[in-house]
Amino acid sequence: MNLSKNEFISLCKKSLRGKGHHWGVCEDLSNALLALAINRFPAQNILLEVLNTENSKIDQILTTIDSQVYKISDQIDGEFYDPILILGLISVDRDFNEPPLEISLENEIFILTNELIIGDCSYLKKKVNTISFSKNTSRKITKQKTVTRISIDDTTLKKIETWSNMTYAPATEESRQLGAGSDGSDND
Amino acid sequence: MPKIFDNNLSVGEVGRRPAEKIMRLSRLGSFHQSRLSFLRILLRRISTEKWKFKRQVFDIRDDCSGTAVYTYQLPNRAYSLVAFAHKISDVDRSDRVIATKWDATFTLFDGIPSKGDIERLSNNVPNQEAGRVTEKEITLSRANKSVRLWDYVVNCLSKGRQPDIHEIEKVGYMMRTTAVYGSGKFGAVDYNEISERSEFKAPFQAEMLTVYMIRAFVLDLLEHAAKVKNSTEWVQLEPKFREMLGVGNSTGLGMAPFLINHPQLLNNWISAKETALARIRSLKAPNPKCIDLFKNYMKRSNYLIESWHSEHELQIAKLNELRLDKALLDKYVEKFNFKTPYPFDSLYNWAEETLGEEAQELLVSLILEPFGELVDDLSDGMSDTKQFSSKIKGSMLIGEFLKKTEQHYAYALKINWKNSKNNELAWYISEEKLEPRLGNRFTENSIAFYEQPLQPGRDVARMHFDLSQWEQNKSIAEFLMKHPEHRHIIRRCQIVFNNPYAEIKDNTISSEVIPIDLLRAKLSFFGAFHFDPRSDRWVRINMFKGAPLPQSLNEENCDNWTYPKQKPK
Repeated sequence: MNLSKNEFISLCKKSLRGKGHHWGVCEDLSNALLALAINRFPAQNILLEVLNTENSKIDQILTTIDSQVYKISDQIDGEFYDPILILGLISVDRDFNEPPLEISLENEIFILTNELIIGDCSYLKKKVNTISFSKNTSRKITKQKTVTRISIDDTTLKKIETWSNMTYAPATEESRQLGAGSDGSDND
Repeated sequence: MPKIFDNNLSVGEVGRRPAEKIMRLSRLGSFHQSRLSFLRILLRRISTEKWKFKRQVFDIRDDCSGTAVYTYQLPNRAYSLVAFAHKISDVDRSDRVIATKWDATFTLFDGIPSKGDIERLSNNVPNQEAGRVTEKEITLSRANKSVRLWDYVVNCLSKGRQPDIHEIEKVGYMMRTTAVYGSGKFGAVDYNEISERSEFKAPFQAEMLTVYMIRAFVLDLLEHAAKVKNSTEWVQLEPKFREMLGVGNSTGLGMAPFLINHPQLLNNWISAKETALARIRSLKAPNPKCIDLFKNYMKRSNYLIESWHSEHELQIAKLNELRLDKALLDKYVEKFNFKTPYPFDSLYNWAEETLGEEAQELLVSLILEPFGELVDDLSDGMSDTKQFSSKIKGSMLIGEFLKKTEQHYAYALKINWKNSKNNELAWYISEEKLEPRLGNRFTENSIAFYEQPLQPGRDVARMHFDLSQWEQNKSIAEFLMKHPEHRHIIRRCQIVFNNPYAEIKDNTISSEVIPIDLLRAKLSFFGAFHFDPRSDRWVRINMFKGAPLPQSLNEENCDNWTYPKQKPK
């Protein structure tokens, strides 16, 4: 299925919430996943990985944007799970008119420029211990086009929806009676 | 000399009204349409740019089912309404989100659809949420008949006579939409992909265009039904009736979360309107022609108020008060000396001290009416395309954050959240067709677990309590490392700190909350009038009632219809 960006954001947010992430965390992670998705990274698979990671480990990587460490440090050390997310988080956080930023997830190099995230889209390392930042990238930047639709296969979508369905209250007759419009005829 | 309310809100001699006054639910629930409403922005653009309207296809069968296509041709592109009419039984007709059948379904197509497009859409649009549209489609919508009025008018026309004007007036529409989805919903194009087009720069323009074109289709379908019933004697509906009929809309709880979830957008809407009012109140000696026009609109607004009916006790009380207040206002304006410096400021101040909120807000809309040249440019700043990317400023110090929170959320910090009445309701989404609902967290099984983040007041109070335990020179980033549960509300506060009208300054989960106040605020910006609540959580309204039809819309009449010149006879 080809999802619009709005639908993809909504799917990410709901599934992450279903996993028990806090609302604000869901918002930032969803934006990060969308940034990756429009740059042709397999964001649906990254999302599935995130859904399989302990929540507190994911929360930690949000400090990279809250403290804007990528602006003030060359390198950070620690335990970073699903590190590809950091590219999306920083891509959304930084201003598009800033000069390109090179980010190394240990040995794998990515470049952020405007809304583009350039690098190996198949990167799926689960954990890294070092992340480096450089504003002096010498690498040649090949312009790529972002996509407007996010393609998700039915199997992956169903797996993700298992999580998002957890955010919906069960349908009961009592609840049905409390919905807007339950109290009147529409044949008037 | 008029007072300046607040330096931060200052526009000219007179500042904008303070958010503490405007962003209360009762005030928001008293808003009226104005010349900055979205459907009025659309009609001005259509007429100024001379868009060409054409019915491309009207392939409707004798049972009133089939397909129709209507196109607006712009200078450099086209938009088409693809309409599917359906025959459904009364038992299937429901305005609720959980409905699965409708009298008509629609999509706004980007361009002119080919036969292949129409075929594809015919397999999806009638299914609404259960179907899929594509990036070629901008909106998805559906509508139900007002059965009683529909049958009555069809009968009249088929017998060669016009309907009774009072019957038309009572309902005001032949069909009411029950949803108009846009911005990426069910596969449609995302708003940010089309937001740079000048015709979509103001908010909800595609949705308004959809409804405006639906109106034309509904009238054609109505006459088709009369013709089928009696092909020899039927007559067309007279133009005065055609213009009297708008498009109804049935709106439930889904619209309320939208306003809370889009603080920046809400700020932009209110900010535009408040700036417009402040500009006019700041005029020391307004143009006499504008003053005459204002007096004229004052008189003309009476018919609109007279013809506003509701059977709901809440609205009946508000209407009674509005009618009494309007009589007072009329008398005051009649004797008012408009040569007084800053006359509209004086008039507004009098109204604020004397009249109820319904009448005050009506006056605001009327004051805006003659000053298009001064205020219409504000519509350009009413959108927000960066909704999802508000960043948290983690470097902000806790001391500064606390101070600003206490300033902007004083109302929330005063509430005793341990009192169950202040915390009674929970907004949630049912698994039943994802219908948004509002329930009692203490009596309805487990709904609190599914609660949506639609209670900023309570969440701010919780965050404030935790934040107060921290040293003031620590950063928000450090706080969030320990308290990720407050991340959403920290972000929201930072939006509100810079956008005074971004927050509804009331408790949205109190046992006293009236959800339709939120609905009315949004619908007034759409340009709706004749708000008719059916309960405290859903409302019917009318859009485009009295507006010229596409065939007759021009620069003369595009803005001169909301207050009819005289009561139709």
